[in-house]
Amino acid sequence: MSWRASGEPRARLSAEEFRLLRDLVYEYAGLSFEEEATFLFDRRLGERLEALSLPSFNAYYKYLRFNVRGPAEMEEVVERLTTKETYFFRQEYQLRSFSKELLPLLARRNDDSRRLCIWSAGSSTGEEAYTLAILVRESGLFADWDVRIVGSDICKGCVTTARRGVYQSNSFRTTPEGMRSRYFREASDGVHVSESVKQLCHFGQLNLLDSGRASMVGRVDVIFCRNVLIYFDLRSRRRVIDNLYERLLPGGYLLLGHSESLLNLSTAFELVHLREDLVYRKPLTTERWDSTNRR
Amino acid sequence: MSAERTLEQALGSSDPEERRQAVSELAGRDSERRPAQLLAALGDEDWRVRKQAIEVAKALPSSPELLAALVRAFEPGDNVGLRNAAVEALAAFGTDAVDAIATRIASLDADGKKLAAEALARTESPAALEVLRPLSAEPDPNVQAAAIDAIAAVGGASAGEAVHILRRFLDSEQAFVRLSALDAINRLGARLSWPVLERLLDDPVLERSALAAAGRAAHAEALPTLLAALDRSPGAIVSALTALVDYARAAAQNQTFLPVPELSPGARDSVLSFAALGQEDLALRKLGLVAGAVLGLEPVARLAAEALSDPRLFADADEALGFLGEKALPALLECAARSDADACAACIEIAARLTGESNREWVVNQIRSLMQSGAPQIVRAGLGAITALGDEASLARVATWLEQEDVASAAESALAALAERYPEAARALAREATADGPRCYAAAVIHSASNAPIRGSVADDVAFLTALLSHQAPAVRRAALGGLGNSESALGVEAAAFSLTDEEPAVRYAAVQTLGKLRAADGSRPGLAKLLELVQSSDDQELIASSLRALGESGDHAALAVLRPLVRTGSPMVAVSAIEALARVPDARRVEGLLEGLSHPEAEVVKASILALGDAPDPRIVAHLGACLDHEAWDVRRLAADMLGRGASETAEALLRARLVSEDNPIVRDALTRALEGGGTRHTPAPPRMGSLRPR
Repeated sequence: MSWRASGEPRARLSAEEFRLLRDLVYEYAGLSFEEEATFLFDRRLGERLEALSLPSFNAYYKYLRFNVRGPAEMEEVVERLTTKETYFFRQEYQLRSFSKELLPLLARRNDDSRRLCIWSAGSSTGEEAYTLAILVRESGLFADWDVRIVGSDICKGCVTTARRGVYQSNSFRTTPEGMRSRYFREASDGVHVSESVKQLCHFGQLNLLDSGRASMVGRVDVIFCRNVLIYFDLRSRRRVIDNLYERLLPGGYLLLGHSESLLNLSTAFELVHLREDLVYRKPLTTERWDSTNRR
Repeated sequence: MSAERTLEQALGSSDPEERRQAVSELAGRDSERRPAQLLAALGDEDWRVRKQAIEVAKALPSSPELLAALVRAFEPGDNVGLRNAAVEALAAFGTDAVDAIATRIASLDADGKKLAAEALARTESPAALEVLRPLSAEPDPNVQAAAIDAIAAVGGASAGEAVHILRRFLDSEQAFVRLSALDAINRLGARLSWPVLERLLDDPVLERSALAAAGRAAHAEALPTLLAALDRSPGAIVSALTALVDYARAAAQNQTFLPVPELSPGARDSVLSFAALGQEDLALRKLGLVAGAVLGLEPVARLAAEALSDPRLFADADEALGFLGEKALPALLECAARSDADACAACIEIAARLTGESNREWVVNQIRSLMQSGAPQIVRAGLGAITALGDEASLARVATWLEQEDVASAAESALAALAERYPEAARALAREATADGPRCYAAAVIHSASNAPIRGSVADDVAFLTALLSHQAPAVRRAALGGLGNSESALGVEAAAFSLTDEEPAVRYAAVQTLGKLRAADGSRPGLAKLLELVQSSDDQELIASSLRALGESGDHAALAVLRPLVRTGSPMVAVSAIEALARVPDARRVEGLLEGLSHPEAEVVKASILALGDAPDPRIVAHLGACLDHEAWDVRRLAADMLGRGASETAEALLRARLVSEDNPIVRDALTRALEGGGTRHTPAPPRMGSLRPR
């Protein structure tokens, strides 16, 4: 039971209130939540009732919908519901495949342009984007290249944190010691990402459903979109995949989370078997693919 | 019982409130009896009924019967309430009231003519001048004086003609008429020649008005007379000081030298007592401050500096310090040090304005010392002052203020201005900065204000600024985008485009501006494609509007295809932005797009189109503006009338006349009449309320 400052128990989220809030979040950001997210809503949004002195989730719903500060509060809601814990060098096996197989391949393929662009779509607080930058640096294949690692997230606070590049110990649970000493610097306020890594990374706020904003990322060689599709329903997932496909250069790679696949979402990609992972590739020669034409 | 009969009974009720309510219903009825009923209500014994009747009369459409009935109220009678109410009601009908009065004025007695003159004055219609001219020649001095007053009231638009009429009365045998005429001339702001003034100054009845006229005319010959008046009675000294201040203002405007006269001790003490803190008469204190400064009285500097903290006296104190010039600086800066933040800021701003080369360094040091308080108002004022007075060394000092968030914007402006003034020193400062160092913000600002390259090559500039786009401070990212926009290179396009995804709106808008400005070496604008893409795909209305403005500023022909559909179907904010952008595209095809805006369902969008079309040399426009005269929103019709009046073609005139026949909104009628009368040189005054309201 949660308690208010007054000592009274805080109002609990009813099933009907959950449905109202869930639909509102879907309408606003295209994010989809099942009934089992009720606890998540109750726990993460309950504090806002206290902060705004609102008696119930129903009043909170009305605040979001009709108050002049509603749009700003919606950002807070999305932030609270989507902020996910992440850390450097997560899903190591996939990163090994990226490092050992994809980066050498891209170094050969882009040798003329000497440009490399990687997009961490749904980058949360930036650990994934910085990890990718470190791996690019470590590979030694792209010295003096124009390298851009782009991180994006729907959550404004996450983007700000990512751009700051200062982390606490729980972000380093799987970081090899050598990497930590080479690419991070201890300081009183936390562990700072080194400038040599930061200068490769650029962060922006965007909803993956917004093709207009997504187009500002430009064309990229690789997209990491891990554990993000879970927030979208089937229809929205297809739109997200459409947008990711559109952003990839021909021959570009899409890497999803270990439990995610494009099954029932897209047939436009080719499945590529790497030694330790399965990844998706945009065909080198493509006709304009439209998700409405999928089989 | 019929409704008309019920109304008649209510109008005749013994209860004033019942009569008042009955009068309010007259607005919605159209019957032959209405003028008579309204006239009776205007003469009601109860003032609330009369007031209601005035409001109803003002709201009715103009008709000959109604206007004739109102003018009849000026015929001989004892009902003063009716006559005053009729004056007020008639005035609301503008030019129509002038015509109605003109046809009946000859039959009125002196009192009636006096009232007619008052009504004409209140119409503020220039057409009234022709009716007032013969009225001012009436033998009755009261009628003459009322006509003279009215000429001053309506003469604003044809001041020359009004003054020509009024000057004849300065020789009148009636002192009353002479005084009225001189006051009227003063109100019109006309300047009389010295020989005329010299004669008037000798007339004891006219002394105060003549002094005022002499002050405004600023004839050098008048100065001894004004100074002599300072030693006369308290009444004369106020008039003389007022005239002296007027004289000084006119002399300053004409940039003529005003010799500071020697004052008698008595006059000096009087002026200082007016300006003193203990002076309770505010008007006198204002006069004392400004006049004391005009007369060069040094104690006034301190009094004026202290008066800056009183909002009622601020403007006069500011003017006084301006007259004192550099003499006021020590008192001003001393006062700044012991004043609250707002008053201190005001002192700094004024000190900066008064400072000449000889005092520059001392004043800058004093201001820097005051800025150490850190109060945002003081720092902002100080930065403004340093912008005007600072030297090369000020660049680095100003840069340190970028770190204080609430004054960073002022520091940016100051730094940019100094960078333009001292380009080499600024570039050296920018070159010292690194992307993660403390001076990077200042460097970005200098990049946005200086010619590229600064760091060796344009590519180096772009690399540095692109790195700053990842800086954690939004202000640095925004400033870096300003620098990229100024880089004369296409290299920054991708980075600027990605900044459209920045989480801070200010950075996104800066990215839009940058994409609009970026120009490649071959003159092409590579950022426009990104903006066009954004306009076509984004859901963010404000960002789209901002992009459209940037597209308009670029003047690029490629924008036409994107802008045109938005003009007709975009949300009002987007459609107006698209229209404003379209108007800037130097392509004759833009006119088709702007004409499409006239079909938008929102009146504000239609008005934006009308304004944008106004100056385009296209013969189709007159016909389309003519169609707008039938628009359901009165403010669209009014604007269309104004714009057609500017064109002054035969077709436009025919359209305006045709609409005038059926238009029942008085504001629009007035606009139509002005457009037809004035050849389009005058515009209708702003309505009492904005928006597409239907006031009548």
